Amino acid sequence: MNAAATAGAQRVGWLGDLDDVQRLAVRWLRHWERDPKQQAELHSLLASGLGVERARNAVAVFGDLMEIGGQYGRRQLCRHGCSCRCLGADEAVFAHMVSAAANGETEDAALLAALVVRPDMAMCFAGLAAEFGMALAAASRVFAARPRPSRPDNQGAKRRNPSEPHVSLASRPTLH
Amino acid sequence: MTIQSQMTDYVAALPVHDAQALTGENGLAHIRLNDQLYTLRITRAGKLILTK
Repeated sequence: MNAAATAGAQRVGWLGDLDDVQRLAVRWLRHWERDPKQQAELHSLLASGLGVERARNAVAVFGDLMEIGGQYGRRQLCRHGCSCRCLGADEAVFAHMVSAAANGETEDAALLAALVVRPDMAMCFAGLAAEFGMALAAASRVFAARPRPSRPDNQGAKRRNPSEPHVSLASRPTLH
Repeated sequence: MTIQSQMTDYVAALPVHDAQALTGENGLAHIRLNDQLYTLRITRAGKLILTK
């Protein structure tokens, strides 16, 4: 495999550095048509937050994103393994495009989309990303509002900040 | 007749094409403009995309 083909897989950060919507976007990207069981779980998770109908629409929109990306993409998006804690370059672009689009930052989203697909499809791609991102954001708000089950075995432990990486600093490999 | 009502009449007189009839079962069709072929696609989410 040549360098150009793997450039999009370069580690640029950690999944734990992302916000909820971005992290969910990366999980969807990783599991799509790769792990049917995990994909079904993500669908169920979305349905539990949005309801069956809105979740079904969001999945269809994500399918459109992947289809447009596959058909009009500059190259195939590089994805890390489903359980990998690293964040790849392509995954970072995708995650930031989805969140920018969902936040109404249309021009930023279109610029990021143009890194993924050919320029004349960038607005279309960003538009789909906005719809999918807003669904993820709505589901995230529902999940955040739900009471968390208490864990009696861990009452005294310091709660981890969700924006923190899922690995301790000491166990992180050095970034070069 | 106001400009707005003229516009309304103009829009109402535009031809209407059924995208599903244009694309058939697979949701894809080509539309020719001069010597260029465009692709019309109905997506999974029920959107319509026209591309070169």
